[in-house]
Amino acid sequence: MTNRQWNPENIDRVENLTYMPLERNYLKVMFLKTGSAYVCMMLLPLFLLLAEGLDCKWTILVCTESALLTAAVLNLSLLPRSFSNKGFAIREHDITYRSGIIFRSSVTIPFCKIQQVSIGQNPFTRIFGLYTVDIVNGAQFLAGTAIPGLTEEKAEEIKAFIIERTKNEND
Amino acid sequence: MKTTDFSRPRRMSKSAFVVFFVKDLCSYAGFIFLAVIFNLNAVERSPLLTIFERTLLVAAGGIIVAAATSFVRYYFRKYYVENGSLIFIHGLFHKETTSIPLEKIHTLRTRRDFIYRLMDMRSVSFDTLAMKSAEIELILDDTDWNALLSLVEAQEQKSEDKERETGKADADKLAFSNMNLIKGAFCQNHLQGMVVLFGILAAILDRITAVNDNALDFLINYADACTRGLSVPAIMYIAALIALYMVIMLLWIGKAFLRYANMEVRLDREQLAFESGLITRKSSRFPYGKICTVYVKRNFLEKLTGCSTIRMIQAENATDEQKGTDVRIYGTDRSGTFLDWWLGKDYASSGTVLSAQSGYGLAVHVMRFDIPVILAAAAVLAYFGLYVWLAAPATYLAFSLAKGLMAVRRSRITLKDDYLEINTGRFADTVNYIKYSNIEVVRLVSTPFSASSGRVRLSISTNGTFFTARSLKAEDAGEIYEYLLYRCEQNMHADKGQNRF
Repeated sequence: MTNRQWNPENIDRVENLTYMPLERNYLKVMFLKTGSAYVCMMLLPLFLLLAEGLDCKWTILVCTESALLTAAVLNLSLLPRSFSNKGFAIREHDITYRSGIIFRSSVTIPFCKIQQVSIGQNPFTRIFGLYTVDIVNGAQFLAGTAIPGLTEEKAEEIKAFIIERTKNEND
Repeated sequence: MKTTDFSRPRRMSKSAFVVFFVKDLCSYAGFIFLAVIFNLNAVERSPLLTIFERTLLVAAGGIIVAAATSFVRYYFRKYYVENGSLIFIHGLFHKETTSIPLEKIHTLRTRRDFIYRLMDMRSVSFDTLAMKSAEIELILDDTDWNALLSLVEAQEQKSEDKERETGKADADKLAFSNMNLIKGAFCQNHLQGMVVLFGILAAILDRITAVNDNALDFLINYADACTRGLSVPAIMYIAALIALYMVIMLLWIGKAFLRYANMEVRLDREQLAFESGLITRKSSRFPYGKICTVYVKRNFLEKLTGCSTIRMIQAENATDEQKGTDVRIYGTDRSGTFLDWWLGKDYASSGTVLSAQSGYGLAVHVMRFDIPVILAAAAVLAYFGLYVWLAAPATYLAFSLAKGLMAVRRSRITLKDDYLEINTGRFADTVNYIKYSNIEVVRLVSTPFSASSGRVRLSISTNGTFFTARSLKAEDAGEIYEYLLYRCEQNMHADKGQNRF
């Protein structure tokens, strides 16, 4: 058992960490995902054309589509910045994932609390051969943290490292 | 003499069959009733049997089905204890064997409804951390229940430190009088009950308008016609509101009394056992290590009468009725006893390491829904020239502002040597006590205003609770963040060390 004195000067603080960026291809995944979501949303108002007896359906349609298009352009233009803010950092006893543009958040999970680590793909990331590491702990909220945009090799490496560290921390 | 040998597969006692039968019969009662009604209508088509005979036949059918299903539930359900595991065999066509290591049993809950009491039995549910719902439910008599409980406790003790004494020696039994409970329930905020009542009234009104568009107008006209002859002064409306509040309060006290009457709490070193209830007695058993937060609330009335509300919150993924199984204690302030038990005798002398107070950003957060409503109401009133009525949104604004400022005043996070205190609440003092080893994840979030205000948001999640301290100074929050992670890791090792030696 160790009982070291806590000295904030000796700790690599979360705000000073060098975060590992995600794979560049993940930006394309983000564009694809967001673009597809907006395309789906923009298709829905087209059902208005089927409505009979609605005088101003073209006006409503044009307004809705314009609003959605503006939102899509804004959203897509923010994605590169969102991508550059995403990153993860591993310290001796925990792993931190940073994300967000407007609400920038850093979530840190101590290795001793991790219960499950898995890697996975979704249809979008599969196109670019990217993987996501899912880290599960026993928290009431924030029970799962996903680090996306990793190559298979990197994802496996992180998974193995976390499992190893978790074992060591719990021994 | 009754045998309490659990080494071989055994069924529950025969009284359990009667309990199953009555429960099944109750669950089929609706169907039997419908079948009787249906048969009464069908008499003319089949005159061979009289009404009485057909009714008797349907009732007999229902009883036979209930007897058959309860027999299957009783006969094809066996349990025994082998190699420190409770093994439960059940099912007729799909036979299933469930094995639970006794030391993994997280919570033991018992339930004694009227029929159980009549048969001198109790329903026992075993929960583990792995499942969201109760793993096993058995119906046992007192002898079997006590024997099984002793086995579970003995198994837990085996896995504990050999040198530590068993908890029973230190058992501290606390009894709470019913008067004390009523006093505590009286001190609660019953306005929440009024919100529920108004919610129900809104739903009823919605139903009325759904029946007929004019139904609501008829109702209003009728009420108007009834009260036209009466000149009701404003004081009467206030009296009616007070009467309504009193009714809600009495209902609330009644509910609390039914649930928590004749409360008994047994604290020993390893667990907390809790039993309460006026008609249906409910009991819960909380292992010491599974409690993740102790919540102590004291509002204005509670402070005045020396009361407090205490909640012992346990890990979330353990029971099927999580909210109902947390221990909640009303009445005279006994928080010191529970905190002594959970945090250690000298918890009060634990020194402060770090602390941070929320800023005025929290007040804005608290008032975020009130402000648009107030502005909209004021705009509408001004538009219609009802300037006198502007006093209403102004009063609500003052109330909302007071709520926000009180929240700022109370919201604080304090890191002690041995534990962590999170103060929340608006009009009531609420303190949440958490051990460092219970912290699972921490999150630091900066908002769009962080650059100018230098304030951030800190979230802490345990395995049963979640807290967010808003508008903390970035520097303080950063230090707290790091210290929490440091202590989380340290305390995990310390706990393991304690268990090993």
